[in-house]
Amino acid sequence: MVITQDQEEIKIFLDELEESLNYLDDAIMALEENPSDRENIEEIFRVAHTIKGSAGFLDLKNLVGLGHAMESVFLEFLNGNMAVSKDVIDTLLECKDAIKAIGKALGNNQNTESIKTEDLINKVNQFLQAANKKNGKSSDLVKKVSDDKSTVDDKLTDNIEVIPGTILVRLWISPNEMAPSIRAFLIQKRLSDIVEIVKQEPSEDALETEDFTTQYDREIRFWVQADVSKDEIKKAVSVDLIEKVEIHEEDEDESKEISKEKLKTEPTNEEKKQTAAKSKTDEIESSDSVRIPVTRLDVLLNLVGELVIANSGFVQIQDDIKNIIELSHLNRRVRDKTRELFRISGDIQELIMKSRLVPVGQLFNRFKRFVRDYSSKTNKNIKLVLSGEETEIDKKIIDEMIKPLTHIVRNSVDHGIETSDTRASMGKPAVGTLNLEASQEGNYINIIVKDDGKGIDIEKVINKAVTKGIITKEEGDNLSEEEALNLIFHPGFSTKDEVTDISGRGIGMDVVKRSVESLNGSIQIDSFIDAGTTMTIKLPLTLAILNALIVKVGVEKFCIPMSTIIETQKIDSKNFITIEGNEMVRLRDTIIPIVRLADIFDVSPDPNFVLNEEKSVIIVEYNESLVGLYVDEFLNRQEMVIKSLAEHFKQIDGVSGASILGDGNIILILDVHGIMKLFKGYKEKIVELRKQQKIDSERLKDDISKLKLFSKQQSFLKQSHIKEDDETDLIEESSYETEESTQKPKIKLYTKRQEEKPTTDQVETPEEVPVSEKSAFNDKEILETEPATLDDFDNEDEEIEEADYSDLPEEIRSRLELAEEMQNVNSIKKLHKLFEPENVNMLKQWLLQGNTRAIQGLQQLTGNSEIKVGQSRARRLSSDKTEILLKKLEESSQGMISFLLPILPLDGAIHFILTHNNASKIIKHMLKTLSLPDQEHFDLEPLMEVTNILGAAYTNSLTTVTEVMVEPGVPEILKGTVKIKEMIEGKVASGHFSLLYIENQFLWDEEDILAELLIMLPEIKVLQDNAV
Amino acid sequence: MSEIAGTKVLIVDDSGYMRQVIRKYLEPQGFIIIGEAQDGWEAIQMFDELRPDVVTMDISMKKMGGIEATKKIKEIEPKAKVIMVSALGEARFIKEAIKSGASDFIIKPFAEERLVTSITNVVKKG
Repeated sequence: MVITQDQEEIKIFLDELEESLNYLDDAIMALEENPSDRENIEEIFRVAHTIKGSAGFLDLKNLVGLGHAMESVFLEFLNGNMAVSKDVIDTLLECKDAIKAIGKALGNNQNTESIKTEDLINKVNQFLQAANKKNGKSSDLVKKVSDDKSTVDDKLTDNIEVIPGTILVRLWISPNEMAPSIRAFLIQKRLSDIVEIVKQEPSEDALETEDFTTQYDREIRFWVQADVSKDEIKKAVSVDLIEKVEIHEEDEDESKEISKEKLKTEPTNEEKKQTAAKSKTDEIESSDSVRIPVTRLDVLLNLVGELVIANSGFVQIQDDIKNIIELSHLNRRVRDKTRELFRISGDIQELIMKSRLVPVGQLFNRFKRFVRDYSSKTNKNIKLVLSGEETEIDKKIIDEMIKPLTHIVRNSVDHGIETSDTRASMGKPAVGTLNLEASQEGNYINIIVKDDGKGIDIEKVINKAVTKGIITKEEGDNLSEEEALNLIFHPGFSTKDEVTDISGRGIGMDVVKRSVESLNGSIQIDSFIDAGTTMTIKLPLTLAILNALIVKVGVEKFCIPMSTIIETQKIDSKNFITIEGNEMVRLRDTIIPIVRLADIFDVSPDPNFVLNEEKSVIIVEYNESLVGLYVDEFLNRQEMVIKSLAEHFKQIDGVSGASILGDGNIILILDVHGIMKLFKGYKEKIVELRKQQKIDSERLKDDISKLKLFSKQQSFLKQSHIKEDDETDLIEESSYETEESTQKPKIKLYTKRQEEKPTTDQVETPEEVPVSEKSAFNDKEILETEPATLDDFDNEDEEIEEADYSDLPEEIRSRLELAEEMQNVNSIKKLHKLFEPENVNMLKQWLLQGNTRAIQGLQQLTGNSEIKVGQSRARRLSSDKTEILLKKLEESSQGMISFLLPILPLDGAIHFILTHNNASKIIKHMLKTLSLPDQEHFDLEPLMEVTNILGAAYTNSLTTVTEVMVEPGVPEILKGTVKIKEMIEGKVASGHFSLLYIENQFLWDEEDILAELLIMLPEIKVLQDNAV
Repeated sequence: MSEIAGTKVLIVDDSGYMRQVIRKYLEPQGFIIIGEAQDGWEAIQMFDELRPDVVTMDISMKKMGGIEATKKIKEIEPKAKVIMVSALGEARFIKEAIKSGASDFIIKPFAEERLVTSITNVVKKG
């Protein structure tokens, strides 16, 4: 082929191709498991079709051929002419691999024609021919009605498929239908009672699972095989709220245009046109998302990092002028704006970091094929079980984890899981299970690889380690189980002598460990003989942010990742000893070597530094033993935004990256392994190393000054602000970080609140808007103009963290996990997101939607279209803060009524609390609307209906916003303040509920009808209690 | 209107207000309300006894819910016409009811016209 295509175009094509291929991998294998899943087949067909179409544009003939071949097979599946067999699936996977190879060649600018596909296509053709012979007819190709017929315009845009032998029923649901998907579901049911539905849009699954929140077109289509008349079909679909029905019977002429020969030829122009039209539609469909290269996000993140730093400069300036400008109001304005800026840049930073996160499923899915192929290659039968695929983690970590994880999985399937025969003889299930799990835990995610194989024989491990000279016989005898297991992470250790095709070559477990640690993660191994092995890999959510300790070494400052630090110690100088010329320190019962960072990096001592009897030592782990890093001083712990380094910088041992401090100074991030590498050499050949080191450190110094220069040029603010090597700067900076954390950039997603977190009373609360204040805002405006009131969240407890089970004993943990599954903890977690300050938008959206629907309901019930929503204000109530609510209830002399609506399937509830007076007012209106007689005695009965409708409005919107399926339960009415109070107090006293308290103003004829919404969700810890 | 005049309707709803509303909407159109049930259990009894042409069925009710009641009614009389009356947010239930043979559904709150059209369609066309 001639490579004249725009490189950008090729890149996009390859990106898409990769996505499609990943999809195909899964989908084809899913097909093997579930051959009758028409929808899957249709989707694969579509993907193959898209590949073919796009390849046509790039003139990739062999790719087009493969795409077409695959497409034809799927069509035969669809038509029921060909059965899904292992052979066909294998061939399809081969086709997929060939497509991948072509893509790779294209990416490397190689000749794509060099990849031979003829044999493969012949193979596919044989399948097709066999299928046709069997059925005594030629393969029917799905034909699109998009050719030059008179109705070309109409049909081209609609692009409606014609399925031979079917009648197409098109229906349009009235826009008045509030639940179009249920309407569609009803039609589907009614049609399927009299005819056979071959295909439908939206799919059956979509109708089954999706709520009416899904905004698909109001047109629905069914392709049916019918022995009944058109009239009967029409009758079946004649229900309310269907606007139009069209029934198209098959056009005989069209269906006969079957092309058997097409398979061997390239697509006709006409086909190209179709794919063009199709990919165009695809584009439009997915236009709400764009592809952004990760590198661009990196740049963006870097820039925002600069912004945050620039901002901290502002804070400093504001602080400086505070003393000069007497005009306090001006000063206050400067401060407020600065804070605002800080908050915004923090939000941006967080958002960008979030956008780098991708689901772990991308990583896991690779193993489906691997395990499948492995199973079929050997006489092992292995089932791969994935869970937590939706857990998100930094894209870069995913990429870096491919190799280590592959190695672990290989080990499991190769060494861990036994052959079916062995398993059977042991009384284990013949099918071995390999679990890949991911879950989030604070700022980390855990990836667990668990097999139910034979486990690791500790005795064997110890023997091998002794044989290999890693440990002595004596040491071996004294090892704990855990220590013995950890021997497998030693360089050069392998538990199996022979090398198999699957594992045993390439990297060892030591490299796996090293890779995980280079990502600031850790790996842990648990193994039980005959029960299996579990590897737990703990990885940070993102590489862009680092929790680090800043230390002072001579005139320099360095930062050390917290993940590598075991502890920090102030050790009296008398505990420092020298053994055989090596500096050591006594720490509790042991003696550990000391590494002076000043020596390693050849840093000049700080003349102003006052020597102290107490030495600062950071204890780190290196190769399973402890090492002390000697520094001058611990400065502070901080979240650092990691800056990307120039290429040559990355090669320096002991340095893994750099960051910028609030004062604009560059700080290097140290890497313990690199330091130890330097240190080892230092021990062995001090003189030579000194020389080498000088070069290294000279280069380092050179680079540092270059970086400093660079950063100065980058930021005008830093130029005006930088005071190089000025100690006070940093100290002020750090005190600012700790004392005024309201100004701190919000990186909450990734960071647990630091210990320095201010208590709530120290924090300034935004001025409250009096609830009684009359407002003419409509619902839309209020939420846009008053977002500040939602910021109340910032000041409330924010300790909603993912449930942390890591500290619990294994037995309890597994029981908890079971309980989780049973009790929908994940759903609760998702719902709890509403309480999180960073999800204020979610809350707003929910309120906006819920309010809108509630108002519609109220308007209809009361016949009063003047009802509007005024202000909405939300806050999280921690259990000790419910007095606000209780007091409010108490103050109301009229008595309150609560409509209580359980949130199912959780034990949560939504309360809609009204004053007695307002409740009776609503009832009056309701009765009036229906010209029903006014009540003689106050009867709450009609309010049941209000409860139903309001409750449904809010629960339904909750589903929309949080994507957690919740449903209203049977409503209850709590009459009287005392009862409401009792209920709230009861729940609060149990300590098991999170409360979200929303004050809503419903305005009615210029009057306020103030209603409080109270959401109660069970805390995650309740489930723990129950389970334990 | 004449076609549907005389159609016998059983109203099932635990809310007396709601039952009143439905009655208020239907009676002027010539429908005959032959009974009102407050829960699913009552609904089954009354269906068996009164054999209405159409049942309007609330979904969430104490004692026995609308879905179970619909299932039971369809067991008693497979040709029974049941229209589910429910608030938004109960999609899963409505779908379940449809699977069990409900003929149509109406989302609360609804206008008079909606109820009448739905019943008319169901009665006329099955």
